[in-house]
Amino acid sequence: MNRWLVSKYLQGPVLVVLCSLISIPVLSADKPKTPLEQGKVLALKLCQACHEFKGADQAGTVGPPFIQMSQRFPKRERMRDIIYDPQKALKPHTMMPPFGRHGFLDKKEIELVIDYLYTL
Amino acid sequence: MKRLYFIIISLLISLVTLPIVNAGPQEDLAAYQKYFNKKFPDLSAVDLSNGMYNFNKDKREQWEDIMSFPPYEIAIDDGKALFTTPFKNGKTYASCFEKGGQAIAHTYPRFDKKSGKVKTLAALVNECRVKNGEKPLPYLKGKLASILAYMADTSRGQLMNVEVPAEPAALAAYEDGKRIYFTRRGPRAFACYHCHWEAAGSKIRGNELSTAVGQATHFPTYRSKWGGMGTIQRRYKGCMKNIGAKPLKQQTEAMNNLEYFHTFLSNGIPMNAPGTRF
Repeated sequence: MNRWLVSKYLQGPVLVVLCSLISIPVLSADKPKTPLEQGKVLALKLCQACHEFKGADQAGTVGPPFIQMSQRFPKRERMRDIIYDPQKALKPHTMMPPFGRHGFLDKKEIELVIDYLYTL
Repeated sequence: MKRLYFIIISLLISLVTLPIVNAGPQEDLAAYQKYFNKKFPDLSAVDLSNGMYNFNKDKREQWEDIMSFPPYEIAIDDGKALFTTPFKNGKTYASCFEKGGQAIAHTYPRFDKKSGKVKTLAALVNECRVKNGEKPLPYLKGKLASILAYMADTSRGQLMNVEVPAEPAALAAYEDGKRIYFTRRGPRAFACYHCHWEAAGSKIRGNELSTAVGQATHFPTYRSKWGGMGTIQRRYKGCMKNIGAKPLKQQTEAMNNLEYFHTFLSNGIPMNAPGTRF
């Protein structure tokens, strides 16, 4: 078998193996394992557009930064209300979207986000 | 005595509320521009027309580099060629506009008494085509944007001067545009106001937000993201899409009223169009 035939018949399987090797860590990295990781993924998806926090590399500055969250929001219920509907819990004219009321986050997801925010 | 108290109190209330009741476009403009002057005391009116590049030094430098050879210049040349080439009937666009269409772009949109509606310059270019037996051009980009780029270039440096005549239909159009500007839309419930007024100068997902006052001075504009020219209504539609809202359709009454109000906000600022943005 000459070199041309080897490269012709082997390049397909080699590519498949290489792609599999590359995609394994990517796929596993896409699926957060722990509840805290899930909360972080949601916060990165929905909160970083306006808030700065650790790990947010595309962060906005429209809202206040997420620091010392447990000190600033000692009552979990307060944070839950704000995330669900800030127009009601904060002020009617706030820019913050009503993540719960408009269905961006369900109740379980709000709790995951809060758990993560309390680590900041 | 009671009656006298009542009359005095009524008079006092009338005096206090008089300026509020009489607040019209000019009073709005003064208050709105004052808001931005106070919020950004180091930025002149001309600075405000430079939008997001006021708020990020690196992006400002990149933008200034791009402006060494402005990418919109081709559109101005194309637009001039289109504008001056006669229609099949021998007439040109110049026949449809006052002053032959030179240095008028900074006064649009205008309220049209005949139709009782706001007319954008883009709409009038197409009306001119139809009147002269040509087909209308697509509104958001391409040839129409080039023609508008040429017309805007003849107005460069002129102070924006959109008029809202003191008549009910014109005031209603202005108020409708204002209502649209301040109304939340889409699932994120953002209004134009939120990003470009309240949060102007802040960053949203790494991008600095420009000020409402000054934005309309640089349209049509060449956007690197588009890889070409676009009209102001193209930008509105993009903005609405970005926030997840269903965009208003171009050249509808609502969209034109929005453009009317939004452009009016830049009155008194030199037109700097066509412009260039990332």
